[in-house]
Amino acid sequence: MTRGVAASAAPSDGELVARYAAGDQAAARALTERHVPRLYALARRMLGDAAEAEDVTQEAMLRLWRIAPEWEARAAVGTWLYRVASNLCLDRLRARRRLSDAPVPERADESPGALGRLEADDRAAALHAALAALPERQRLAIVLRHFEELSNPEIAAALDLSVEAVESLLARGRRGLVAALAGRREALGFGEA
Amino acid sequence: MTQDDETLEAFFAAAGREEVAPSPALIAAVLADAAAVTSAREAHRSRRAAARWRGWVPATAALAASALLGFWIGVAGEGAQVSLFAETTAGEAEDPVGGFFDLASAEN
Repeated sequence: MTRGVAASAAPSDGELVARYAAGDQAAARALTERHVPRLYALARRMLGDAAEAEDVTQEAMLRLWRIAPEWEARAAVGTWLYRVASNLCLDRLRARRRLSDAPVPERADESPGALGRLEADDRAAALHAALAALPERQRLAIVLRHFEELSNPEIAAALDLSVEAVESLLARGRRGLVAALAGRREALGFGEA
Repeated sequence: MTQDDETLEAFFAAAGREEVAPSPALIAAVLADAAAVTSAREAHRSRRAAARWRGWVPATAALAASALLGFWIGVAGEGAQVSLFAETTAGEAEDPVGGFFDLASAEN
């Protein structure tokens, strides 16, 4: 019951943005705690690099701080932030592709701690490798759907696409993942099809 | 659900258990940005308010000066008219024309 009261008393994102625009730094902290973990997870899974994911997260939040006084309830704050972060990730992936023909790194993170975790979980490592090989927009749709657990309409709003286009991206992405992981099923304990 | 779907879900479940959390340094940087944007916005507001004030002060002073001048002209002008009327009245009492008329009459 206490949790229910607390949940209903929690200010909405829109209210927090308005309070921040009026100078309330506590509202900025609440927005940060609410959205930064999800934005960082999205960027980390899209880019496979902790430092770049931090840059993208910080930039997305900075854009929210700047637009706060003019914020109108056109879109949900979370959806708007996902859109900004998604576009920043896509920009960085395209820049990487322009700068180098080298394949994208297959590991999500090269730091020793993260490497140890990935080695301990071969399935996760294999999935990250398969994700990294997908076209960017398919990867983005898969990450938003299966890791961030957004609905298809929410993904459509975040990516500025139709729901049908999202469904198509997801279907192609899943087919790509299945194809990439097919050769590793047995090694990863799934047995023969 | 096909076998492929089940396998894929198992992969997602494995990857979903990984901890992907932002560092305290990232949280601190984001909050520092929020504070910096607020400070910059408040400084901008102060500059605009000061600029508005600088514009209003001379305008208001000029308006007040004009009003005072108008009031003074009104009062002083009315006084001058009364005074002129008074002088004319006094002058008529000693009008040389009267004397001239008298002289002319005497010649005839």
